[in-house]
Amino acid sequence: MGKIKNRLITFIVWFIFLGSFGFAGGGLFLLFAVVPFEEMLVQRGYTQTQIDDVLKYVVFGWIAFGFIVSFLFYLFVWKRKKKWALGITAVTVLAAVSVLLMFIRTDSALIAMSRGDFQQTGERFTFGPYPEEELLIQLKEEGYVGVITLLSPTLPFENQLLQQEIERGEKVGMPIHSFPMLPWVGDNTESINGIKSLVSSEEGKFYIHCYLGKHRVDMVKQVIMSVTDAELEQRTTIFPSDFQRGPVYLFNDAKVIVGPYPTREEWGILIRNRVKEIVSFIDPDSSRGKELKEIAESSDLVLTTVSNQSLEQVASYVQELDEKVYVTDFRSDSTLLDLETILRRSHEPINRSLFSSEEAKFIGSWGVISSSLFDQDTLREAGIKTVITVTSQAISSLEALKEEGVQVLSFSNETLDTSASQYEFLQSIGEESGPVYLYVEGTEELVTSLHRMMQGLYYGIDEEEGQFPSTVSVVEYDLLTGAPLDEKQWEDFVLFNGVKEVIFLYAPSIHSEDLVAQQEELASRYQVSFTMIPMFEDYREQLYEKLQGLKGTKYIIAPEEVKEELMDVLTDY
Amino acid sequence: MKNRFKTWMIYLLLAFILCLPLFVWFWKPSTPLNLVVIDKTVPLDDFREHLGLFWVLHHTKVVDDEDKKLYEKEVDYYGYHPERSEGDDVLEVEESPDLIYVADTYGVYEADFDGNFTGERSEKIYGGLTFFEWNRILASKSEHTTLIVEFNTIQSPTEENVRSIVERNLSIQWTGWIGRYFPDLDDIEVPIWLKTNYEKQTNNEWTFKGPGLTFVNENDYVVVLEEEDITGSVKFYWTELGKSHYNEKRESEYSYWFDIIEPGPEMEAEGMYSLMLTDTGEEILNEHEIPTTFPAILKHKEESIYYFAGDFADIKQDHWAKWVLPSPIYSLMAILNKDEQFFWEVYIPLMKVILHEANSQKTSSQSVGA
Repeated sequence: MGKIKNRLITFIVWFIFLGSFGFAGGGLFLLFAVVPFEEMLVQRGYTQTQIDDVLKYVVFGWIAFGFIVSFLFYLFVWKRKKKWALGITAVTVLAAVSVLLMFIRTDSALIAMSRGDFQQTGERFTFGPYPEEELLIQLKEEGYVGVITLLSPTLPFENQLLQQEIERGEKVGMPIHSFPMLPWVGDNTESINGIKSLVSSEEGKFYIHCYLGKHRVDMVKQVIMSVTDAELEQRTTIFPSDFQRGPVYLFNDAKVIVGPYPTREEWGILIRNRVKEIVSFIDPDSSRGKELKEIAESSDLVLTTVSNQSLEQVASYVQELDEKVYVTDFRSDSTLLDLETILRRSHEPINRSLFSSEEAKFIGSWGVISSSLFDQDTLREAGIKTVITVTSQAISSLEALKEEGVQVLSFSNETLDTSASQYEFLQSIGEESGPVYLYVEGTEELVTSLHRMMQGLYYGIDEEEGQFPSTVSVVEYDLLTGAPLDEKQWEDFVLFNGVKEVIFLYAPSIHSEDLVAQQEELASRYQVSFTMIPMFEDYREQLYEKLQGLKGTKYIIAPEEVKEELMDVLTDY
Repeated sequence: MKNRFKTWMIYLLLAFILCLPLFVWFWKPSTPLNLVVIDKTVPLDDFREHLGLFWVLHHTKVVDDEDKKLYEKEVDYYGYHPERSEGDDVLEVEESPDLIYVADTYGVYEADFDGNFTGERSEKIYGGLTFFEWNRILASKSEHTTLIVEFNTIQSPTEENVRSIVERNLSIQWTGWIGRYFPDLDDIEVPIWLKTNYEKQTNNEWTFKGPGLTFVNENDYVVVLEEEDITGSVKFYWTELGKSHYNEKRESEYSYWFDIIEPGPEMEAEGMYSLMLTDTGEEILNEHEIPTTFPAILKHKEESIYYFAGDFADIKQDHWAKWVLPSPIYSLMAILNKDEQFFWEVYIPLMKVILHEANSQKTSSQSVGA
């Protein structure tokens, strides 16, 4: 009888230790190891399935680890020093209670540190962490029709929070729709189908949350995007000119998009922008290629691999497509840059390897600028069709090239001593045909300056090389916004950086007519394209229309009072 | 036979005399003006927030410059339209109208559709002046345009950044306080939100009775002056500047909501409110930095821009407007309609002058243009 009693006590202590250690340690392990690890995987572009596969083992690994520790506890502590064992068990129980309280108190500092941000997808859906009562009231006031909670009652603290949320929802008058989901483990299909059905059948705005607002809401976000695709057909959107892995180029009214391999968030942008086909240079048998196939299948995208085709064939194929297409390689490397040249200028790219990077600076894959005079064979081999010389005297050695049909334009370098004159010069040479070689006799400083301006005029600004007044904010590498500029700022910022277009968001309640006239006069004086959009109800549509497909650096003059709203408008992908 | 004819003639003459005010109105030439009226607070088809304005327009025979017809309070405004249960969202204003009148932008709320007799706060359906609407107003305004902005335009639910832009443009500064005199603090007219805020703030029940003055600031802080703190209601009086502009000297009681505004350097007061207080009442207001006299009508020094610090155009009932009689009749009407004393004694004479000036400005701008 005594033996049975002893065994029962041993089992109870072991069980309490296992449970409390597993819960307390598991909670902290989740916050400080699993969540940051998952974020790292997301940053590296792993798909949700891959992340779930990895994290599933991490979760099961922790459970196994808990059992191992509890057996070690039994063998080395309980069997030898019972008082110690009871003490340790008491400590783990206390730790478990503390962790439970920490999770229940969603406003605690530790939880706040790990909580995700609020994210809005379109007009209808906002994703975020567990909502306190104040947030429910705010949502109600803002006209939300319901909250979709992904908390799972199988987790003790989430069960308590779920009950609390339902009670608060009743009090505030906000319907709470519960679709329990478990992160990484378990089958969430039923809940996902339920959410799909709810958002398809019920109109209005929803707030969707899990506990931290990170993992489970991301899964639902992708589902929501596919369900509401039809709704998005009606929405005017803007496309970013910069993805995390490199710049993005738009052609044919943004029907052909060329850019690097997207991150998880960026896949969402493509879907929201109604991209229907992916054209990929990535080897389909590589791990990245397999992942791409998986993403395309799950998002109903047509995947066409073109790793064996010439760039001309790819360019011709994508231009003939009726639907929106995204052309990608793993990064915006030379393949994409060469394709950009073909799509942009309808000619072959320069063979860049013929020029040493110390001697030459490139504009895309169609222009080379240098203070070194390259020999004719190199220029011929590189496919140069236009040579522009900026020298003190004409260069006779280029005559042979001229006879071969290469266009040779000569300019004097004496007048290019200010930003204004350099900008005017670059505007005057315009978009010459074929690959361009710009030879600049003189200092490296002039080459750097002309290169920076050309980069600005045709692509965007390198933040490290660029020069900005403190009132200017960089939205993307080719899109900046800020206050109206005085004459000096026009020279030191607009011209210096090769800003292609200035767009003035004119607010009659803030800007005087004199200021508008002054900005217009400066733009006209320096030959900078200038557009004025009045800040009326439809300014967003007008701005999108203006920006879409506009190549080169754009500067938007906007009132300080609406800066925050404008940033949202410019980044509402 | 002769006597009967005489009698009939007398009757006819009497009838003619009685109808003369109507005939004069019909014979009087109309004044074509291009007007833009903004009123977002039209939950019901009483149109009360702009009713007073349209009464004056009819009374002074102001017609639409385009079709030469009288303006109709049911359709000729930008804002919420109860008959189709929706609000306008794009303010399309022709360039250079003669007068822009922002009557109210408070908006329409869920509880309003049931009458909202208790003044309960509920979910906003439509309301607040937007940055875009204000830009449209200023973009269309020319030198000859008269702009009138009335309470409640810059207060909630208009966003703070829009408010500060409007304040800057109009050269005014709202102190954050609004107020109202109630003949009985226990009456249903006292909105429930005012009582609730007071109870939340003090943990005391709202047990006030009798006449009183109430103030609320933008943070919902409530100050109440009871019967023993006041010696009367809110009085309106003209400043010397106002008297010289309008040739009016009549004072009046003002019995609806007002906001407490400080004029900037470009605005000057033509009319003022004065609070009738005991020493205790003054002390209480001093504690909260609420002034005892403050502007009711502000006019820009250079341009035809006005700020009315009250619901001036708000009247409860419509009256027959198509008549012409000497101005003392307005005082008689004020006696007959005690609640609308301010409308008859102040608002009508004020608007008659402003409309007359708007017409003169239009004529002079046309002659310059020609």
